[in-house]
Amino acid sequence: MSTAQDDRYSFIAEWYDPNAALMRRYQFLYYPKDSSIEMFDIKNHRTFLKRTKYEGVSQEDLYIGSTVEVFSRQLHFVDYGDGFTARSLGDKKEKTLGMIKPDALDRMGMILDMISHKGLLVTKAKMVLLSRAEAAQFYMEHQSKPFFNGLLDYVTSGPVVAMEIMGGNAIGVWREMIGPTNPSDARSQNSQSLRAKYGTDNTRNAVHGSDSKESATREAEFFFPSAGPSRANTAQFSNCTCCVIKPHAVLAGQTGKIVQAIVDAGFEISALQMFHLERANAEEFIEVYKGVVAEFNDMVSQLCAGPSVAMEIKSKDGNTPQSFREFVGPADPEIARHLRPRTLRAIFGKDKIQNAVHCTDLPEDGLLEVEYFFKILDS
Amino acid sequence: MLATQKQRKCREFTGPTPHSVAIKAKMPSKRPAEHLILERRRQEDLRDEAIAITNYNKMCDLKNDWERITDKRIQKNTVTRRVQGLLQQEKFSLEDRRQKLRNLLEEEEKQYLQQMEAQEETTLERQAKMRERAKFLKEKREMERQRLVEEKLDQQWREQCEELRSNLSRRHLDEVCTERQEQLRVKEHIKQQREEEERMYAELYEKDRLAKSVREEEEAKAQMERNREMLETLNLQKAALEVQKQAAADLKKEEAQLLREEKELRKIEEQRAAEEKVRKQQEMRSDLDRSIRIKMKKQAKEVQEELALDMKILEQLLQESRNEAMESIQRKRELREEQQRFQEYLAREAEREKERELELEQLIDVEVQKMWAKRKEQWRLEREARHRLMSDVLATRRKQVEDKLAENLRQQDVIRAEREELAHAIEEHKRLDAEHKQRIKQNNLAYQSDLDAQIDYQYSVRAQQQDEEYREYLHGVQVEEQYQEKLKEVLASPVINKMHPMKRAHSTRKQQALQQEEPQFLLTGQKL
Repeated sequence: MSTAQDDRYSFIAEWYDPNAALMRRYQFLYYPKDSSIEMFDIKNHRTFLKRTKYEGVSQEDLYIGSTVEVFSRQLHFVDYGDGFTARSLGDKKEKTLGMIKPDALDRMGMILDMISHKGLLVTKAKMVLLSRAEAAQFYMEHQSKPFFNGLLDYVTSGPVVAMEIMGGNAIGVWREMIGPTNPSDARSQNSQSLRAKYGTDNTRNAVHGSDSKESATREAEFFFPSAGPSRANTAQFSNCTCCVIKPHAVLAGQTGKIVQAIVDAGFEISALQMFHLERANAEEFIEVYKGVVAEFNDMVSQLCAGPSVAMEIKSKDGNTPQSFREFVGPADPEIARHLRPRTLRAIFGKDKIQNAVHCTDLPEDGLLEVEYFFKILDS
Repeated sequence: MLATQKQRKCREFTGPTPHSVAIKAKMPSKRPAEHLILERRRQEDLRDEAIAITNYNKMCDLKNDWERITDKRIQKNTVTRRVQGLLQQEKFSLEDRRQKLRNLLEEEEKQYLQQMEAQEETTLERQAKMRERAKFLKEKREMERQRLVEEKLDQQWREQCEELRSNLSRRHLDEVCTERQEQLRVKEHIKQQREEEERMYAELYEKDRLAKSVREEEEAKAQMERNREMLETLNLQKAALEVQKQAAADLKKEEAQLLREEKELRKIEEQRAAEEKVRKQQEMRSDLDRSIRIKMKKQAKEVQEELALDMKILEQLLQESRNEAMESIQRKRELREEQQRFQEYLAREAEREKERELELEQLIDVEVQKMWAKRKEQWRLEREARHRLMSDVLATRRKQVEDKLAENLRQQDVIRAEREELAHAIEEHKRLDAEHKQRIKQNNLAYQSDLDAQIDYQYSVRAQQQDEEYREYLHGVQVEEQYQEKLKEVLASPVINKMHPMKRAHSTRKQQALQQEEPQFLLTGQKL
């Protein structure tokens, strides 16, 4: 992009100060010329961090709702700091809402993979089972249409996955990706589109996409309300284990492949949600590893380095944790590549910290970990 | 109501007479005598009772408080204990889980290590593998050797078999011939192609040249056209200049004419004024003359009339006198006297008449003068009006002339400015033209120098090529000489030291055989 000499992006960032138990607000400045950052304390009217080069923040992290870690402070961007940033990044960081409907749920991984291939970023995701009233509220504009009843039956027939997708001209790109409403039209016009591949008829068309900025905002607000109670998740808390796709894999766009691999291996993903873990939460989540493994601190850092995807995994056989653990493979990808080259960590892992996924190790901890994500963090 | 009827509320009762008052006796007290004591006792009792109750209440409060606080404390302690217990339990379970996890991970690690180790091969296995590998390598080498031997044997046979060789050489010759033919054909083809290409290029060049010449012609034509247009423009400009000059001259002439007219006007005015003066004088004179004439005529007529009347009277008188001559001389005398008196009287009368005439004349004079003044006044007014009119006309005319003059001057200025502009434009054009020509000339010069440089370069390249050819030729000669020398040397010493061992052995054996048979044959054999 064309950068002037004093080009800089400005954001309002929040940091939870655990000592004072306060939310502190800062103005966060990013200079793309030399990728340096600067922070300004808004309340005290003084510089908080002088302009410094910092590798941990890149231009891809700059959007509202993202979380970056700066010198072990987890900053959360809540707003643009000036008009220039809103103008120049507003277009590039357009948000839309995508929804994977019940019949395409087993192709979720492929769809996620396609999204990341198109250069879009999934910033929020959640598996939700809609009630009839909720579905009617969501499809408010189709209320008078003849297919309304069938649509409600279909959408409420199983869980759906709602995603907030971000990127340059995200609404247009996502609509282009999903293709025309009718899958048969899609097959004739755009055979590569999602509806052409996974849709069956006009109602059962696999995916949903917002058609305008206003509807994108409305639908995103519907699934991910900024205030008040969030939509109920679909976790079942029985015979389950927990799998967390770690931030490095999510950022590398491997989410889709991992999810698809899990589904292909015969496991059922009964709940899924994207989380931005804070350090305290991450520590609490893997407290059982403290003192057991030497890399505990690195593991915590990795877990709160960005968005992670938590899933509740179920399987047909009685011992889900054990079987899933075998599927995931040894914790060290080196060993995994050597001994179990077909396991998840062997394929997607990089090293012992960035080993693509976390999975429950102790069989009795499966429920605990699932409850931690889907009961404690999601309430 | 009357004062007497007023009911009294006190114990006093008034009697019927003044100052007679009776007081009603007081009722005895209802209270007992020791009322105060009793009252006091009662109050003390009440107080004691109240104190007792307060004490009792205080005691109860204290007890209650104690109980409540203690209960609370107990509850709190219980909760704390339980929470602690739960935490402890949690901690223990966490520890437990950690332990389990530790065990699991250790076990798993051990297992993985074992597996890794299991995958690693032992020394024996390695040795066996090495042996296997050595064996394989040996076999491979042996096989290769066998193949080589076979090949060599085959080669030997081929070399030794005369029939095969002749056959092969014939075949080879055939091949060479056909290939040569093919080569020639291809060469021919290439040549044709090249010729075609050259022709094409020549055609292209020719076309290009023609196009260029046409373009140049067109350009020249365009240039000529431009020049012609330029000339026309210049002519037009010149004509315009001429016209302007003419206009300026005309304007000047007009100015002179105007000035002249002005002068004439002035002259006419002056003349008119002089005429006027003369005319006025004449008029005056004629008026005066006429009045005198009239006066004279009148006087003469009057005098004549008088005279005629007098004469008539006299005649009458004379007639009468003659008639009366006889009447009396006396009377005559008297009459004469009378006549004399009368004549005197007449004279007097004439005198008076004359005076009157003079007076009249004076009167007339005054009248005339008055008239004259009036007329003069009128004339003056008329004249003034006329004069004013005339001056107005003249002023207007002068103003017109002045305006015209100013306009004229302005136009002259404009024309001058235009002329200057035009001159400037012409100058500019000339300058541009010169520059253009200069540029063309420079371009031509540059092109010339380019061409010269190219020619020079071509010459130098050709010279270099010739040089190179000559050097090559020299080098060839040298090489040829060396080759001849070497050939001679080789022919002189027919021993080849770089030979295949088998062949060498073979040849030595052959040589020995030949030496035994005929030593001189050796030379020819080697040569072949």
